[in-house]
Amino acid sequence: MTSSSTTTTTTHPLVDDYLRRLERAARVLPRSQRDELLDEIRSHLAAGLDDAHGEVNDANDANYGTGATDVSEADVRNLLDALGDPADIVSAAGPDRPPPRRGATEILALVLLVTGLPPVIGWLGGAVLAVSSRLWTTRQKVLAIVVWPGGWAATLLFTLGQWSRGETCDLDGTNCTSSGMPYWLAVTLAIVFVVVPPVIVAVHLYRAARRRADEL
Amino acid sequence: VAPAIEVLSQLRRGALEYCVLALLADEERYGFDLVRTLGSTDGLVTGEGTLYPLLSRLKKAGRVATTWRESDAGPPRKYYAITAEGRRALAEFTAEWRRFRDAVDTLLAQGAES
Repeated sequence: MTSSSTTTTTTHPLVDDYLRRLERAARVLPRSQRDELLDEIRSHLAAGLDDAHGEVNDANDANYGTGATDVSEADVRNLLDALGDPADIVSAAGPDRPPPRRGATEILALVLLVTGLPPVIGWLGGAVLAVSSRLWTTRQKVLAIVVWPGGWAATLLFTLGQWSRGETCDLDGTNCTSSGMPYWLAVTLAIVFVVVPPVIVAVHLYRAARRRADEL
Repeated sequence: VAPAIEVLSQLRRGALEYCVLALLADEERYGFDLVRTLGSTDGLVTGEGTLYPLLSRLKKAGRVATTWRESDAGPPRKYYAITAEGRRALAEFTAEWRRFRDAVDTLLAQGAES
């Protein structure tokens, strides 16, 4: 019976628990880096268990190389303690992360969505960019897209304000009398209700994107 | 000004790369063996596991290369070997490190005398 044909599955519950914690901690790493790290640690643990096992049994023993379970709990704990905290291992892999994304896509998306310019195309482009964002959550993408009426609605209200002046002038253009909503009020309303909220939301979303970019 | 422990941890982290290269200077080594040797050197590493990301960085930087080799016991093992590029980096570091170490030692000794 050859031991090398046996798959190295670590069977010790402490080892399994350790690997689970490492897998969870390693989620922040890019896929290839994570897989490589997990492979290395798994093979380290298998070799460490073999090592401990080899000291107890003859190296020709059929179980040699299988990460066998008949090592003492103290050996396993020593092995895991020497490896260190999974979180520390993952953070040691940190500096190799890809350079943080600066959120250029998100900024452009917000500018297009908030201004809505050029009409229709601006909004569509902004929405596409927002959806493709890798820094925003789904909720934030939805928020980004509903921000859009801000741009054109402000323009609309501004225009309505112009109309609502309902100016009637004498034929020579003097002696104007206004009816309807005064111009200044329309502008104030436009600013308070239509321009400010999307800008606040946009700032909030921009910050969210930056935070996320820093985490990555 | 950074606390002493932080300075030392930065120094250690920086020097560790070259300790790995130094260990590989004469022979290629199996990852486990390499990590164990470094881990059992007092004051060098806190967790052996943190050495694997370091090895991965060295590999990406072209300073070490890896080969899989069949093992008498268990699955194939990944062996690390120093590259020409790694040797150059090690030689450069070794020379500078000695100057640095001597300078710091001299000044620290003067400080201890006074």
